[in-house]
Amino acid sequence: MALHCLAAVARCCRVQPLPLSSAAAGLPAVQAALISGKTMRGGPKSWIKEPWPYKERPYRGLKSFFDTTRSRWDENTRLIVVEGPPAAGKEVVARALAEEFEMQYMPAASGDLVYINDYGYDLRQLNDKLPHKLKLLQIDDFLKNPYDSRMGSFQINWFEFKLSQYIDALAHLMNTGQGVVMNKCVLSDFVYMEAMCNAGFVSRGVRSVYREIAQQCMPFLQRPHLVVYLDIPVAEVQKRIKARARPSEVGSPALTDQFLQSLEATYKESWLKSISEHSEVLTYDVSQETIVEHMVDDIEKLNFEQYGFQTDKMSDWNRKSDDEWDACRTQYTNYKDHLMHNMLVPRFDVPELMAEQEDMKVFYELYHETAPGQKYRFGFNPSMGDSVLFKLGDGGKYRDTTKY
Amino acid sequence: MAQRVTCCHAAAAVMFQGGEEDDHPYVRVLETPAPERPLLARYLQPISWGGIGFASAFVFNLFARKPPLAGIQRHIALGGIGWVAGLYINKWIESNSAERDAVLKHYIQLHPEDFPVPERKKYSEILQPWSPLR
Repeated sequence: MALHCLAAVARCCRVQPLPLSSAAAGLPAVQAALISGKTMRGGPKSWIKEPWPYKERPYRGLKSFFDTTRSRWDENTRLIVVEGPPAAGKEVVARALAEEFEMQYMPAASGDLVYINDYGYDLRQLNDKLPHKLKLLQIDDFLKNPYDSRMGSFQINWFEFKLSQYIDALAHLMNTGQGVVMNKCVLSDFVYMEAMCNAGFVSRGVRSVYREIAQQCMPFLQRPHLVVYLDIPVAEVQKRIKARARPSEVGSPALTDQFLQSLEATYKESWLKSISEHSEVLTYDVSQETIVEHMVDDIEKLNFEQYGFQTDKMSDWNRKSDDEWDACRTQYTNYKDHLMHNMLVPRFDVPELMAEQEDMKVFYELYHETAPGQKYRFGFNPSMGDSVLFKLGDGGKYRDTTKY
Repeated sequence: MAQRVTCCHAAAAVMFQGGEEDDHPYVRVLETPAPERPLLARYLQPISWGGIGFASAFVFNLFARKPPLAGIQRHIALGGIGWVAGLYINKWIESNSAERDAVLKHYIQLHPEDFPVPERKKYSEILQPWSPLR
């Protein structure tokens, strides 16, 4: 009887010889799920599941039993970063890619994003009253006078904002399943610091503090799937800057050939090399023309899932279990401040980055107490008309930089 | 502990036949009900624990960057929880003291020879005559 059963099982399980060519077997030629654009698909994409409202509701603990992170992911859930020297057309390309792949576009850091608070108050209005060393600087100030001693802290502030934005991008990706296209990111921010240091705008001490901060913060971030690098030579950058004639950029002592060359060299020799160990990198020479359709075609051919566990490629996206992804998502969504606190590196040896206690007091009173909407967290400022007596809850994330 | 007291009930019954252990002055002191305490002392535990609960909501708001009185429900709830906890703590302290007194009383009754009643003396008998001479 037993023998009979075994024979029956063996008959059922007999191995069929597989055809070598998939086309001959009538299977589609490509079985992997590749990223797909609107045009190729012929219409908008269908979403697997409603996005998690991560800006209003926290995601932690028990929620992961009912809401797994990967349940919203599909082949378009990718993090794409567009990089390149100034005036390379990053924003145009990033917006077009976001539009085509139905992803979220994240703009580059600018004064408006950094200094306008959640109530819409522009903190740069405080600059008249703030002490010289603690004024709120932006890129225009850098372009006007790059040799200012405050440029070190300016660059570190910019790093902080980019870090916050990158964490937001990851949170958005994990909670909604929508891909994100970023215009530059925190991982490549150090090329500006290197260029500034090489050009003599900031001291080596500032650079060493910056490197230490970056070293503390980077290990907690997921590197992107894809880097699109827009390459133009320095002469072309100078020509485009002249052509677009932004008042702060034309004739700026910051945008010298040396600075731009240094920027390009660090991008190519340091950053692209190191990031290409993990991410896919597409480099385009856009000095003559920028054809986004070609980029879309190239991106649609990339297979992000071909790499196994033996390689560093896509290793940040190789988490094995849902638990790991849920923990990761919880961290990016609700514990952003924990990640931001990695920036608190106790370095007191660089005088450019230190301020007098009297100045700090003035700054604190103006920035954290007097300025509208700054005293308490968003949604809890009685002076801005919030009713707080019976209000519980977080009132939103630590700091929302996902403005678009 | 209450069980242990009842275990010794037979021995105590034998002991009470003599009648003289009840007259031991230490036992009399332990049996005397405590005088009525003032209101604040009686509610010391609920008041302090309730206060701690109420104040912890302020600390919570401080660290959460909120105005001190935001979410007054939390203040009230934590204060209430603290008050009830204080009541139970008070009860626990009193039962502990009562148990301790019962144990002491019982021990004194079992071993009256270990607790000799000191002889009453006047200070005039204790103090020696003093003369200011060296």
